[in-house]
Amino acid sequence: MRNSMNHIVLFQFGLLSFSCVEPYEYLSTSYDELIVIEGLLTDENKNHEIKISYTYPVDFSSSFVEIDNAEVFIEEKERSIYHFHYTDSGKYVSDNSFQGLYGKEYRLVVNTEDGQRYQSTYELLVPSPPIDSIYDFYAELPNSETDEIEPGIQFFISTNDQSGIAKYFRYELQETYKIVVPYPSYFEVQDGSVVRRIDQVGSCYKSVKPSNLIIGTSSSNSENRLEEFPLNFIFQSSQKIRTRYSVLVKQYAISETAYHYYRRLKENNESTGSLSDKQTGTIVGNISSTQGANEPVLGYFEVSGTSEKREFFSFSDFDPRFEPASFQALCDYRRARRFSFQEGIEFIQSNQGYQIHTIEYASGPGTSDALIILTKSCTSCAEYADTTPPNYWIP
Amino acid sequence: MKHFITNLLLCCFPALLSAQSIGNKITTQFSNIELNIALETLEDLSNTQFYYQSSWVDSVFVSGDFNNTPLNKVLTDLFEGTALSFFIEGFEVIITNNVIIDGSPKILTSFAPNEEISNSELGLVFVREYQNTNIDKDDKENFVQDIGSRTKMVVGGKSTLVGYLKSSEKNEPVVGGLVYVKDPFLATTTDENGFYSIALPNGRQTVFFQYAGLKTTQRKIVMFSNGSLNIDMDIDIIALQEVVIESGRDANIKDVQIGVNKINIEETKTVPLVLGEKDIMKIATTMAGVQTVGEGAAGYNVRGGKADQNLILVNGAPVYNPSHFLGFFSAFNADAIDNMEVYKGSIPAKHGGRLSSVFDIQGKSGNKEKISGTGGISPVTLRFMMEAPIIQDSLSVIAGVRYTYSDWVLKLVENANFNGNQVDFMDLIAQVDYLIDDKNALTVSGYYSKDKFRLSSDTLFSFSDFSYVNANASVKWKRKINNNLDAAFTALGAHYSYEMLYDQSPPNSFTQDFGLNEYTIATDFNYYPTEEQRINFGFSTKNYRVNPGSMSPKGSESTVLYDEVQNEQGQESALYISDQIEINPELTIYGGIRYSMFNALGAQDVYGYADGLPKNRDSRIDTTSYSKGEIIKTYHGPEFRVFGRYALDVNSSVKLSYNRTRQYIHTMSNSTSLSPTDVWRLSSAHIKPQIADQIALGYYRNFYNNEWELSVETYYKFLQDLIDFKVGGTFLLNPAIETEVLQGKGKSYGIEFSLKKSGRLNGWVNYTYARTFIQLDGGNPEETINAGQFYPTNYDKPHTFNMVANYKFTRRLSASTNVSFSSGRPVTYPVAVYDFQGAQNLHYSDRNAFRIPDYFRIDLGINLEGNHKIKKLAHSFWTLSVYNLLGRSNPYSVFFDVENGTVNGYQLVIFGEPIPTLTYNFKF
Repeated sequence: MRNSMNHIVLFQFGLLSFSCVEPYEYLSTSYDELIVIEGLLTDENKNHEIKISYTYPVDFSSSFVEIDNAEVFIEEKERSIYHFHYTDSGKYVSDNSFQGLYGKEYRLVVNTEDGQRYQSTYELLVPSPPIDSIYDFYAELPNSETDEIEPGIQFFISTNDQSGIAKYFRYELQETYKIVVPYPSYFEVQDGSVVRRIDQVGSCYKSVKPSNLIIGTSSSNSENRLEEFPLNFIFQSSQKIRTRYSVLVKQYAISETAYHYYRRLKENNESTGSLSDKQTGTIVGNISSTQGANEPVLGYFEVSGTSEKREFFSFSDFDPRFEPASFQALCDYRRARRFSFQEGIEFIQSNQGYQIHTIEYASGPGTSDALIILTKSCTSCAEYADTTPPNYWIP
Repeated sequence: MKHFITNLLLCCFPALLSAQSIGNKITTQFSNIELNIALETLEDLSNTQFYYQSSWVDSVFVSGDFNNTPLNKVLTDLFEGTALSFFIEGFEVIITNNVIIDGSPKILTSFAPNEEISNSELGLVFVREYQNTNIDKDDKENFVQDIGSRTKMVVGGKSTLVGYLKSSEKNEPVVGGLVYVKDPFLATTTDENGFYSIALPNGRQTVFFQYAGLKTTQRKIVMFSNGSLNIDMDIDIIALQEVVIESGRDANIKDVQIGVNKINIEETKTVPLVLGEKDIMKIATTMAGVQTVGEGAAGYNVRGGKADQNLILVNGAPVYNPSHFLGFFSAFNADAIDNMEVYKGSIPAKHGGRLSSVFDIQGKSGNKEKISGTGGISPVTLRFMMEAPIIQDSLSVIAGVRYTYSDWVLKLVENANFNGNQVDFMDLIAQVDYLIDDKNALTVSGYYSKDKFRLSSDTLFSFSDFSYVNANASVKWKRKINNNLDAAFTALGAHYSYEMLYDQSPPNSFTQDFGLNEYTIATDFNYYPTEEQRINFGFSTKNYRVNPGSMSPKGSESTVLYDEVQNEQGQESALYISDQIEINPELTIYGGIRYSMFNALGAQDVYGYADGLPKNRDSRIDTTSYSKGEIIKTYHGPEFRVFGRYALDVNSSVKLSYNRTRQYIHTMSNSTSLSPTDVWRLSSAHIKPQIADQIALGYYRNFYNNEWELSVETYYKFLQDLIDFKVGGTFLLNPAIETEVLQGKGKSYGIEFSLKKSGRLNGWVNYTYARTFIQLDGGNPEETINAGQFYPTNYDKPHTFNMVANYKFTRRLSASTNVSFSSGRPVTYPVAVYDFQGAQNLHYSDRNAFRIPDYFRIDLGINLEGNHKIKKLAHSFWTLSVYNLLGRSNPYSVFFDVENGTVNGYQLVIFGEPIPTLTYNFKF
């Protein structure tokens, strides 16, 4: 033993190897053409939408194929029928605006031109409880793009349904964030002369809708609460939480079957490569063909109550360990161009990508007023998004 | 009289010589030269070795003119007129002096099937006279012993030699030792008590005793009638480094069983190490018919069987999770293991409960004479094993422990989301042997392994701490009731459990567990009515208690609801009897029947489902409650085990077997390989037992004095109610697993070619072609996979090639290599993309229609031993291994995502570069 201990140091040589994920070239020659039906009926009073399309090959050799001549309707159990008509891009919209009612069951029926009938099972509409709160938490997680552990902000939600009816939820987020350019343009060239801007171009508001599927359940919670449920994580290198960030969370109260359907769909789409990968396969929802019992129908007819909540966050609200990212474009004031008025005006007129940040007034003898000119990516937020704040924006 | 001898020699020896001395025809001329010079010449010409004392042959001069004359004739002529006689054994010629007294060649009577000697001569002695030439009675190898009573001798008949083989150093039985005579070739192996029994022709014999790691020894005997001979075998210091494929050398053709891989722990020493660890299970995967789905994967697939279809026994007690750290290491400390037998073809009636195989691991027995130990250090673990006598020659104890001291492995698999984490595992194995008296022995053994790892995942909602425990303990009392009957009584318990802990979010913190206990009582009898027959019978019953899972809040802030799935209970019992009969030296047959019965027991609530609909939440119609201990469902059936061996000649045989197995406990997994969170569940009202029938045929041939061993085996398996799962099924905390399980037919077939070689260059090569398919046709899309057609299983790898080769440069230095090739395993590719809820989604179909790229790896190992001075305090050796020498990136799995309008494929490579390791081992 004594002998062996002296040699531990030897064991550490040449540890070069590690597992890794590499691109994989594959050739999938198969193509499974199946009908895809996406239906959503909520308790909102509006023109609801149903989408009907076909799958397309994995090499995208043919693109989105829609079905534009089907008969589509939603049937309330033993009650009314709501008809839909085709608009465009595979979309069918209800003839009238209507809302799903709590405690009622609905099913979707699609009759295609070639005589196929597809129908869903009856789905019960349950109300969605209000969202209690949306809040943030500092965390460090591995970033798959850089393979490094990176700080960021985890956003959570808490929902409390005292009625205990809704236990399964799907969430849709709409993120809006404010972008502020480092050197806003205060002046512009108009009719060959420099004038002060009337509009503000220093900040703008960008909205994105993440497409990832977020589902949660309170079924394992003793108080029927969804507590500290993670919505989304934003790495600190992201522009989204650099200044001010707003998230609108829309909560859909779905059925247990819908929850498991989405869970399977998520597992199929989001495999990450592990020693025990989940078996992938066809995910069938609640819609089936009444003729060909063995024809899988992709998609789902979801019937859900909704509720929503918006919350605002400023970077200064976050944990002190959080350091906001630098601005997305490289903007160095020392590299700004200085021109006399005449030269500056000529430069702007012949270089569309530049703008006047400000005027540096003469500070003494031998100096004269100068125009400070930078690229639009540093001076104009209109380059990135709409400069008018959305009506819901709270500064 | 001389004339008579000559005639006798001529009439007796040709039969003996024909087998081994073919071609030994001599053409030479001697004219009055010294006999010893003549013998030297003959040695050269006949390529044989002569043994004699020079004092007998000096001053003897011989003459003769031989033209294409057989060696025995030459010797007979030369020895005419002297007191010398001889006998030829293979390539050895032993010359005896003055053994012929009374003018009668008694030495030869025992060889004489032809009755040329009158009965009156029988009583006459030669042994005593022969002893005169071997005065040194301590020379056990050459001292001639008589066996049985001379007065009972039946000339030309057969008698039975029985005895025990034990190792002199440890005073332990030698299990699986080979006992044989060369001419006629007859062999047997010792049983678990070191006992052997062999029927030999009466007369003079040299019996050889051989076992890996021990010095091969021989005894010269004269069989007069039935008798016994006990042998102490010495440790072979030089053999420390040998890959001892010899252990089963003749067993290949002699054993009646088909599809048995016997692995001696010595073999693990010279196979290149996997990440610095000696690993008996990894050696098993270099044998034909045993596969894994990839490196680091837990579980073994034997002849197209699923990973849960293997019964892994340590000293007779089952181990449910035989891996450490997912599947990177096996959970057994190689130092404390003696050997492992893998039954993949014909499984004796004694074993049952799993479909595909039995991995029967025997721990070492403690040294009964002195304290000794072994240990080692590798980049991953420290291990130590010690054995000591408590009561000299009677009570011994052995214990081995292994523990991880570094997270080196974690660093290797850095990108697999394990970084910043830790892994600990340990295992313990202990055994107490108590030889109460000649007739009674008691063995108490125990095994414990624990793994604990903390894995951070890239989502906050994955579990962060995971630990699992395997434990078992057994008490076995062996009793020799009489010379023909022995019995063993066993009581054992086995445990497997795991626990997950999530504590990253206080309100959501929880622990979740799974647990399984089994308690078994078994009796086993061996009855030997005649020398040629062995009847084995017994009974066993085991009680299972399964906690399929419970979830509890963790910490005071947690609002998690306590949840559990009702415990499962079951009783599995089996009655078995088998008879192995050696009908004649060529033909041995084994017939066995095992009748097994399983009762699923309450308390349990069982859901009922509407007929003709897929089982799911919507088709559930009622619930039946069963009280505690009430029988919910009984499954039972016979399992026939029939096999036979027919020796075509001394060096080759064919074997045939038919085997049925039934399995009542199953792992539930929705992943493509075993996952640590899989649960074992019992057969129930809805989960039927799995049944397998296997027919296997094998041809075996040994070449070059058994140095080469060839076997070709082919099999066809038909499986019923093989378990698979709906896509995306969940089994954790699921009270209705029947809604996720699919059961269907399976079939597997294959052919395995293996070649083994012993000697300075030793090792084995095998090639297997094997296929395995499953059919899931539930009559509706939810319960049908691939349109109800047979499709390849996740572990279907058609071509497999393995080579393990070791070359001994010197006694201290050897090098070894391991070459491994296999077809890529099947995967499911996406076959379409579709838009749904604002995102692009992948549609998968045709399960397992594609394959990942082939797997190919070469490992290299160099072993250097310390010097062999026997007096040295401790022996040591170093092993340098390089895993994946070529640094080939072998994909473990492939997966897909769709991003920005393209479908991207990715492959996960576990060890894509060479991994060198250095291991130090010592023994004292």
